[in-house]
Amino acid sequence: MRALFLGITLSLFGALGADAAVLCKTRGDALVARETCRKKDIPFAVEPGPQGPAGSPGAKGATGRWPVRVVDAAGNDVGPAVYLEWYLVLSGPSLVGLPIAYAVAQHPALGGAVLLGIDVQGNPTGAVYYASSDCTGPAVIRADGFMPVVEVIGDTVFVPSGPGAPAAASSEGLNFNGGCSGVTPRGGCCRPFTGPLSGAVAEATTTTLGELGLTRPFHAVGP
Amino acid sequence: MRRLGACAAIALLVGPLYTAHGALCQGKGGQLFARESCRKRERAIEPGTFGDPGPDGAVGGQGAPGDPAVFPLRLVDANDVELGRIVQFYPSGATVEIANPNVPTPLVLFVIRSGFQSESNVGLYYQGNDCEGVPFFPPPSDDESTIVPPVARVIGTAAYYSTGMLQNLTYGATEFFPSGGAPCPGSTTATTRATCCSTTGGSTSNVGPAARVLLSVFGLVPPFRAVLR
Repeated sequence: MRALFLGITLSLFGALGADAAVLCKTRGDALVARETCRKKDIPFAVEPGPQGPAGSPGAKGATGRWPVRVVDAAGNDVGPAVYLEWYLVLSGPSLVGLPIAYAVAQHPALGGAVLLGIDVQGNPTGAVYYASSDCTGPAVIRADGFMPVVEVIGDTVFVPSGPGAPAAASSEGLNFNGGCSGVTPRGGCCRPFTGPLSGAVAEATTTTLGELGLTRPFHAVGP
Repeated sequence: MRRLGACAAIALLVGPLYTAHGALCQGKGGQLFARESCRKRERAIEPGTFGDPGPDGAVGGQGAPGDPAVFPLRLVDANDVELGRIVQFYPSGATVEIANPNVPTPLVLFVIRSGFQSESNVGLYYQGNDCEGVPFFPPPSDDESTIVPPVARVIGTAAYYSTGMLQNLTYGATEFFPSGGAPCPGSTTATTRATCCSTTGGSTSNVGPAARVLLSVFGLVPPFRAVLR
């Protein structure tokens, strides 16, 4: 009866695992647990437990990442490209396809998600407007799109700081040369703006590409 | 030995009866006992002390594939209601597929921040001379004709989409949205759809029948804006 009792015990626990203790069969066929079996004991091996149940299925995969991205010169991801327009540009004897792109950029200094325009040469696009005729005083930028668009002149990034409203402008600062009447403090082209300035504009705060950790030129990458 | 084997065999049969309450106890001499709880001078033995664990179970099934990538932006109205699937996106305008239970088919509409933008260079044609009844409009552009569902044109406060084949229609009146929302010119009359009706009479044009959907049916409130998903 005692042996039966022990047998029952073993069936309950024997398959569960091994630690420091071992099971030993005595000369009287009793089973005892000891640190090590005594001389006249016979070590008693317990069959390993049954195979465990199959694992549960893996978690659902993550949602795919938007495949077309804009990256900077160092390969840093600027954000997903949400607008691409391709231009064929003659480069030496070859035609090269270059995109104009808008990427969604995010950074605390930008106050949330904004659009950053990229021209065919990989430079950020920029156009800011001034009530003055010489690109001095407060700058305003267009604010009539679906989301804020930043404008970049030189290394300076103009970020809309509030809701847009109609405004008048007499000069504009651009980040390319064309009919310049002067140079803005940020190295941009200043030229007269004859307007009217259609759509809403917003006053702008500024940060820099350096603060955003971005280096020009930018380019689009795909899958 | 035979006795022990027989006992073990019996134990395997009855063992599970004890699993809910059993404690494995070791007496002073090393003997093992199965009890509801161990006595004072006994030592409780942790289950799993003896024998190796069983092999690992089979590897679980592969997880379901993730959802495909979607366009990172969505367009919402002033109440954060999503307009619909973005078909084309420009920083200042977008074409969006808008579905509504009160409209028999989803429509692709051009929107800007300030709302639906009425075209002023497209006219509607009517057989009668009062701009009532079935409207007709010119064929869509090649670009538009490749988009499914149909591209709707916004004229005044309504959207129009094609419902039939082109035909040479002898029309009695045309309807148009005055450029910039200006007042209707003197020879025309204002409709209830923020458009003007011009009685022309007798001319023909290659146009197709259209269905009208008042924009108010969609219940979307400008301004529209893009937000990250």
